[in-house]
Amino acid sequence: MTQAAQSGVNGRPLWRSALVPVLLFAPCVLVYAIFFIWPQASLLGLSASDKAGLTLDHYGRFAGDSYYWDILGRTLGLGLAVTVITLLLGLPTAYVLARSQSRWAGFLLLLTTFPLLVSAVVRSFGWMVLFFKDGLVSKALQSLGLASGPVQTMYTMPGVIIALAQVLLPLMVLTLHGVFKSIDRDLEYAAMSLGARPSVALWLVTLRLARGGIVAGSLLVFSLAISAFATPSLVGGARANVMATAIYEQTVELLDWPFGATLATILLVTVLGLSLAYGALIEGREKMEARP
Amino acid sequence: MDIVLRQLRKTYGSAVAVADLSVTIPQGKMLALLGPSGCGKTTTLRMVAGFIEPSAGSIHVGDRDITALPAHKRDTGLVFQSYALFPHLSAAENIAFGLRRRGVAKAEREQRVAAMIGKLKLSGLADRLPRQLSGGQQQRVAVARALVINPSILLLDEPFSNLDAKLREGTGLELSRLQQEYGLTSIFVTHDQSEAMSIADVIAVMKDGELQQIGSASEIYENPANRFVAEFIGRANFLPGRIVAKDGQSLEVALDAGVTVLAQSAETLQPVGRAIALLRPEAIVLVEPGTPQTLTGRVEAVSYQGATVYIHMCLADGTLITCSATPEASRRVTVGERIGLLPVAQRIRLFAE
Repeated sequence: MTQAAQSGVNGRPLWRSALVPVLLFAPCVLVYAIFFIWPQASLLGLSASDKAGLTLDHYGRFAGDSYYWDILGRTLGLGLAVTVITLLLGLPTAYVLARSQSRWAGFLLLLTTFPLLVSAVVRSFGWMVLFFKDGLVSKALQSLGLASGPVQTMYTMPGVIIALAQVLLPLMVLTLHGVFKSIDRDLEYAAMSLGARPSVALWLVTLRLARGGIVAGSLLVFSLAISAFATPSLVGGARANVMATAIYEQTVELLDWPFGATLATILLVTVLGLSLAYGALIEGREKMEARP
Repeated sequence: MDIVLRQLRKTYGSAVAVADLSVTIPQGKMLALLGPSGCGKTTTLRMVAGFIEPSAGSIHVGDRDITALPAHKRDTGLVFQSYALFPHLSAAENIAFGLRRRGVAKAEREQRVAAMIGKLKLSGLADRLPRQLSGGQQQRVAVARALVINPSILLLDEPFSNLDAKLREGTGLELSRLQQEYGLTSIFVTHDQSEAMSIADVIAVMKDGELQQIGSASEIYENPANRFVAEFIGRANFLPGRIVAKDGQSLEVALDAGVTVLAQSAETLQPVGRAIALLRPEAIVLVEPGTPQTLTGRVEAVSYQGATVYIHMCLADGTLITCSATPEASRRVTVGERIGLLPVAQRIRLFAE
């Protein structure tokens, strides 16, 4: 027995077996350390210092100015709206595609990912064509009698929300599709045979089991929506200012790097905090339900 | 309650999954739908459960036509092949699921769940999640969940295929006992003939969506309706030959292997024509080589199975044949030896070639 413990796996010494996962892990860790952790750390340092040394002045400037609070609020609202819309559209789509026996199901799933294949700039110009005062959306609303005059969706928050929901919907659909595929359909049938109508079976079994995936998809879409830059700046313009565009403005246009770094840090901390809280909330409920 | 399937049919495009199946299962009896995969047995069960809509025909339980009734109103107890236990609910909550849907009050619900847990020997496991249970325990939870709602019919979809061989027989007998205790009319889907024979009252053999034969285990084994049934149920030797005469129910067949035997047939066969004779392993008696009216075979292998020993032999023309013997008789047999084989006339069945 001691012989086996000393010789490790396949007769190789233990330290060598332990080294393998470390070596496999190392390249990824290295890339992350150089290109993610280090810049983030220097950003944090930049936001909390000036020529004199450590300071919280930049954060004070943010806290004292309602203009920036509005931007943060608008950004979180944008994230929430996009998440809700993609969930509402993505859940039924992913469910139907996952349960479909049709040979077209695979092709249709591929179709839903098409927006991802188009560059953000091209896509945004497409939205411009639709959203301008004399664009398709405006004309359609007028001819349906839903609007009395020309409707400008370009350079408004609703425009940004619609455009972002469109590009992030595939990510929601793909995430949920995988989750629904992994849930055995017989579980729904079992619930029905026990007297649950199909909608109840869906709620008590399928959606309940898909909860982890719904959380993952929501967090993915939310974090991508609030950090999106190209779509808000092209479709939203100056009137629909969000954190990402504000950071760009500070660093590239006003060259105020410390304050740009401050905004970036605040955005990062907010996202991190919300994600952890959301995850903990779901996990907590899970634990509570496991103990009847 | 009786279950009656009338001209039940399911087609997918031009493919026929179930072709005009008509079966009546009397109150309290268990029907086994037996056949190879793709024979339509599972499709039939799922039509009865209400998950698949029939293309034509009707399903009746008692005096109710349930063909158009949605699954959740059918009042069926269903045990799935995968058990389909809700992974996020404990064993007790799985069992209580159907009672909750029926709005059974808490006190009665708890009492009925506890009674089921006792009955299926699940005491002490009530709070476990399905993944913390063994295969046999999961299967018992699935059975308890199906029975606790006092269903009007019980449907079983290959309920033993995920259990190991030793557990399978005991569980089968246990399930058959529960089914009788509750007086439940049931349908049981399986591809395993020994499972079907040991627990079902009636066996329906299916192939390519069509019913081949329906009857008790002994009827199907002893008087198979066609060659497929004969081959699917039990071990079978097939020897080709020529019908030379017909005498009432009996046909005289000159087997190509060299003997002439008397045989019965469920099909209408006329002399003179080619036919194929079924000889079950126990329908062949071992005798001294050279005895008149016998075949001669060379012993290739002896396979000891406990109560029975199968002796595999090769005839002069190369045909392989298996016969059964008692362990005592088999001790006199050695591999390579030549033996006389006497077919037992009353037990030979004949089919069109």
